[in-house]
Amino acid sequence: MAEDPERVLLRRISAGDEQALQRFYERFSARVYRFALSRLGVEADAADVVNEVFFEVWRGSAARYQGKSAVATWLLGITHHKILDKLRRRRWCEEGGDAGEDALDSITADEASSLSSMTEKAVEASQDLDRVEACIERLPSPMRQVVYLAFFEDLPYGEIAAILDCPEGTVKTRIHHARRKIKACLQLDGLPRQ
Amino acid sequence: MNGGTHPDDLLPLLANGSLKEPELRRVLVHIENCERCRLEYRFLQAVCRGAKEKWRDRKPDEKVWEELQNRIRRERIEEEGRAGVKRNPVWWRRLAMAASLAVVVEGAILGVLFHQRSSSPALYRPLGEEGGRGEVVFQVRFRQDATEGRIRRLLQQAGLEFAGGPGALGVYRLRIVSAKRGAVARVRNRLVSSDIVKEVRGP
Repeated sequence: MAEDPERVLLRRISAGDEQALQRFYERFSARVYRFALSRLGVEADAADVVNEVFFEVWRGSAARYQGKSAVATWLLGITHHKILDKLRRRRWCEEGGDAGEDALDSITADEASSLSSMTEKAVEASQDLDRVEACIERLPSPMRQVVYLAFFEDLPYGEIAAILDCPEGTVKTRIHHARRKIKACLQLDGLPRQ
Repeated sequence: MNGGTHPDDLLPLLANGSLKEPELRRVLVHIENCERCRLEYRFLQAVCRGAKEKWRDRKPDEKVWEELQNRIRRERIEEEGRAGVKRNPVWWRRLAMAASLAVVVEGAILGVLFHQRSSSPALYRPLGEEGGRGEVVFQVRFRQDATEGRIRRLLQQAGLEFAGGPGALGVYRLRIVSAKRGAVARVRNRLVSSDIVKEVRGP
């Protein structure tokens, strides 16, 4: 059975093949960039993360890849840690996300029920993709990041958890809260655009 | 599942296409008969489309790759510089050994020279000490008004000759020309009794 071409690239990179790094970069840089952008929200910071990730791959991470997960999952995991480094440097470590989740966790059963009833209007509003995009943008960044992985990368919970180095339950909770937030946002902005 | 009735946690996976059998079939059957979950599924499909629209065209600037290449080249140059020192350790070891050897040789030479000079009678001799060749040396300070002529005469009369000086303190080292038996005391008495001699040190 032929070896996965991405793993072949990694092996060549670990041997110091710069052309292999370029091909690997061409294949994955956009995904790394988008993932970083989904959390950091600033293009320059996302570009820095891309640089850091591929430099780390070049310097030795490629040689340490053990094949326990898909190459993309492994690479996005490295990206996640680089994003956290970036956030720490920006002193945003605990910004928005966790606080946002705490706030959502405190929503009462009645409120949750009313949010559930929002779905019909939200579905109607969600047909306007610009509005959906705007509501995703307004999410706290850790939720936006999970939305990116679930709905752009189309990853299952297990892989998202592996990338974010957290339990699957945390991923489910974040997606659940993100759904409610998006619905609420679509309803709040539900008036037709001029 | 939400309360065990609605597959809320599985709907995002259905929407993103990552749901596998047997859950896939179960959820499809469920939403066929559940208006609430059908709506939720449509909503999640819209979120999927929105997410794809939002991020689809985003990619890093070409400069990012150029910066990465530059960084790798800088790193490579630095590593080659470090590796060059490591790869050829003989270079600096030889230099260090040569320097150590030079220090040892220099020390040995200085030691020999010091030994030779310290054993030389001209280098240093305590006051009045007998020289290595049977010489007897006095250290003498003359009065300030002693003329050179008078000093020469005294030296001739006493059987002395200059061995050195004067030093910084005006001390002359005078050697007995012929150290016969009893000459030392005679010469000393002659020096002490001279009116141009201020101080005499010696045997």
